[in-house]
Amino acid sequence: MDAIVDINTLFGPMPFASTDMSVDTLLALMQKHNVGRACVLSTLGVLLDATGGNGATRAATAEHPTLLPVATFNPTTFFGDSTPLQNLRADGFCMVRFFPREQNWPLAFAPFTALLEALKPTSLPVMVGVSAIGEITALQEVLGSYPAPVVLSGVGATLLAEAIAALQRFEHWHLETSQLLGPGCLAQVAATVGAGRLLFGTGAPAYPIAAALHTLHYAGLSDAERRQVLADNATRILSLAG
Amino acid sequence: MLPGINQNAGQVVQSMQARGIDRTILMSARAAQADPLSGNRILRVMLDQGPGLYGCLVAHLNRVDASLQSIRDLLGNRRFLGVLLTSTHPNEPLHPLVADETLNACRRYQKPIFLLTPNAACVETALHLAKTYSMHKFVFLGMGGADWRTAIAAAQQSVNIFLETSGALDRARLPAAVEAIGGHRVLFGSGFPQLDPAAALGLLEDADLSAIERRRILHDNAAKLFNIEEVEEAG
Repeated sequence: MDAIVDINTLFGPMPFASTDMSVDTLLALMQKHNVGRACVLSTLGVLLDATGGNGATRAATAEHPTLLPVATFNPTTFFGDSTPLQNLRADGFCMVRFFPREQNWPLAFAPFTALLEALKPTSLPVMVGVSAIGEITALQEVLGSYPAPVVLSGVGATLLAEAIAALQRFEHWHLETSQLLGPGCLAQVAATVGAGRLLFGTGAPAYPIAAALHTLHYAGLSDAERRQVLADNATRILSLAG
Repeated sequence: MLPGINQNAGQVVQSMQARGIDRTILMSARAAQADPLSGNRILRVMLDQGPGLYGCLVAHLNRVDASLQSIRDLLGNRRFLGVLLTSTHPNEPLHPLVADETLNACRRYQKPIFLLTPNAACVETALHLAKTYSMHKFVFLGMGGADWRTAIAAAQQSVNIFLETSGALDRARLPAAVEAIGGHRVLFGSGFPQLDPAAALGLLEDADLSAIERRRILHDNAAKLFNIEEVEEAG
């Protein structure tokens, strides 16, 4: 099997996390659980400034080839200049993440729509955090026609029905697994929209890799489905070398 | 099996055993969300249907009479190891004055009191109850959620408080609790079926704890608090 790909990791300071979120801690956890590659971003890009954060992400991933850089932007400071977006692919970024709850902006938000429009030429996958009932429904309007894969993170048992309804409507939408930790949740997704729509993610190092990994182990999926979730789907939608 | 979907005793036992969990304390969602009397009675029947199944009786503070009846009828049963006090909105603190009658009714049974502590406000009220009713031992379910530091601080203030590990999956939480109050007042719990017990075990696996501390949390502390050996020897 290809090495596990974790599509949701972070490094840097984070007020809510009292765990050490250093790159070294992340790498040690990855090694402990045989995670071969991780999509990572600096929390500075979430908390302070996208330019500085994305720069820190590039610097960290340049030193560690098992870490794949993820960019982030804050729509509340997007004034229409698409220049920083044009070189994302050339700079090696494999995805763009958005953090509406942490940055306190609504999903139906004109600058977010404008930012997504400006991202379209890059065809980079986007990952958006959701946290409340109704948000996925709101996202359908915003991201339904986005031309590249869309990944929802933060979906747990209470958002699962809404997420599955959206995934049934949009074939290019996917779910990240770090909050899908209720028994039967992963199996429900696999049974309704297919295991090809699940991407293994953990939130490490703030959150334990073992939690997401063990939940997947007991989810009742076939070996082939588990392989899809752990590696194949991420390799495909992020266009990673196999 | 999904959160919110009804499960029978066999399904619960099968899920737990597959994950290496030998004993489980169950609470009735029916008792907590609909009717304490019938919910606790149904749970009582379930407990005989699976090895290693124990119960926590649910006392609903908006249904005091039915809850008191359940306590009188069932709490003497050896398979009920404690009492959960809850109300209509589990994310809101209990009102201490309303809890008074129920807590007094529990005194003669000397079984631990479980309280839901999903946030700091609930922890504060739970701490007040723990200090007021010092003859009881209290289990703080969910350990304050994202506000877990408040739960640890509460446990530092009152030695009759035990912290249960379901809640936020923050890797720093359990080492911080063990460092602050010692490993002997932390109890493993999963919050099943909201969380797969495998995920809860994963939190322990990736937490920076010694093997001795893990064993205490997974087994020894609960065995001692609930007198499991004595209960099992009795039959």
